[in-house]
Amino acid sequence: MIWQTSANDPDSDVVLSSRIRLARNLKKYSFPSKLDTLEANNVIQAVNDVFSKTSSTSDRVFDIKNMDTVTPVDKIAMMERHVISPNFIRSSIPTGLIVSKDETLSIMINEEDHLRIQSIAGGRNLQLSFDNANKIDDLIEEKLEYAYNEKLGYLTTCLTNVGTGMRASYMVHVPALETTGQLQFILEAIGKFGLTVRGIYGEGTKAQGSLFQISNQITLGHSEKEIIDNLNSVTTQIVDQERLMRTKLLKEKKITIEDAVYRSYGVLSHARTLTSDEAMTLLSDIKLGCALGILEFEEKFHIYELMMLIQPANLQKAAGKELDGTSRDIERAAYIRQSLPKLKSL
Amino acid sequence: MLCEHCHKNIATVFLKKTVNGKTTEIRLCEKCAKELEGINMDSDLSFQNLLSGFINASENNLYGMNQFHHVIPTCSHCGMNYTEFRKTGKLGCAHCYDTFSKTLMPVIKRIHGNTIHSGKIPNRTGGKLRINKRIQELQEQLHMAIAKEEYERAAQLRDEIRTLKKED
Ligand SMILES: [Zn+2]
Ligand SMILES: [Zn+2]
Ligand SMILES: [Zn+2]
Repeated sequence: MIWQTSANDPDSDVVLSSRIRLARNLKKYSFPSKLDTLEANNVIQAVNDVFSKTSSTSDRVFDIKNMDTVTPVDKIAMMERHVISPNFIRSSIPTGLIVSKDETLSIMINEEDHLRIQSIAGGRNLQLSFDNANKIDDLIEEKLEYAYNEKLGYLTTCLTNVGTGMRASYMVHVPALETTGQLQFILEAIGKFGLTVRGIYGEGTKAQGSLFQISNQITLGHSEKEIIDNLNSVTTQIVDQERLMRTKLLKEKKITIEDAVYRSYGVLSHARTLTSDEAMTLLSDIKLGCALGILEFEEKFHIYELMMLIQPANLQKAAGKELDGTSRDIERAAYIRQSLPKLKSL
Repeated sequence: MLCEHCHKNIATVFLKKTVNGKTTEIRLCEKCAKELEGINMDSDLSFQNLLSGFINASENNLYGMNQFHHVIPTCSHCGMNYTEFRKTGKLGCAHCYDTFSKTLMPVIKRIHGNTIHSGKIPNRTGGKLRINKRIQELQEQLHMAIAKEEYERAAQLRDEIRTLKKED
């Protein structure tokens, strides 16, 4: 997971990652909602061919995965790392996946649309994500004809994606806005800009560890650049507001904040069992503590990456065996104790 | 499936008629449906009407005797019908956008506040669009040239069109 550690940008105290997703369909085939097994396999083959033939000329190494041979735990683990979507795992027709070695680029085949091209970058790097996704899009379009309409743009299974087929999003960490109740106002205001806020694993998932995804809701009538510009200007305001609230909290409730941050560190570094919810909340406190300069670690470590690796399926992969709920909580506590660096002695 | 009336066009309108308590089903093309049953796809089949489940019988009934319910256009390419689309919110293929065009546009407008794409144009399709447009222009010029009896110019234009069509 290179993308989580590559970030070195001024907004990393709030913006954790950037993501572009392009929905595309092939002209020749019915959309996945009306695709039978045979045709679904033809779609997979057609897309795989593009990559098996171009892999030598491309500067990236892609892995063409046969999803039939991927275990359920591995699928969920990939979902937890944001490589694939929850919807993709539930698909009732054959699916395919093409993914770059560092997992920053992936193409889900036969999700809701034939293709879901996804590009992730650490920190605030939406332009980079877009450029990478756009290159893959061009590469595929050289070989395969898309369902495209002069008036409506890229045709998608859902009317909510028609046009650019693009969903641009930022993952933000906004604990101060959340605890002060300010987030509610922002959520209401954001709709006016054609944007929406979701939990960390997308539509219908709950927020964990004060992490939220901000993304565009409107895909038709605005260019890709306009959509990104709009998302950027709203995100800048959210970043500013979050910082303002953090400073305010630190000024007005210094001892309360310090106490909460140190307590969270204490629990994380000593607890023997931790549920996923509890761990996420505590890690969120640690992240805030670092951003406010309350905590300083002996070595650099990436909290967001840890947040993903302690999710149930990734934890089981790390342990190399299936674990029930109770043993998972024990394993999680151990994993965090091991990963958490020592505090710098003052 | 072909229209049960003209046996020429593809049937896209499925009608359930109840006459004197007896229900029969007919499949018609859009043109025949309009002519025979007075069903106007353009105005009467609004999304709201379909959403509410069925169309008010009196509105679409020219004959007074017939009672219509469930006027369901079906996509001839993928078999998606409007009832199914309404239930799942998913379209079945690119042609569904044409089949359900009249009813989809207001929904698209409501979702996006817009109905015209202004983003990326794919190279391949974009190129084809440009070529088609150019062919149309040349064909108009060709008609003009023939009308004016400029045969040399017409031959030139014909060659140009032929080359462009080969590229396509
Ligand atoms: Zn959808
Ligand atoms: Zn007919
Ligand atoms: Zn269709």
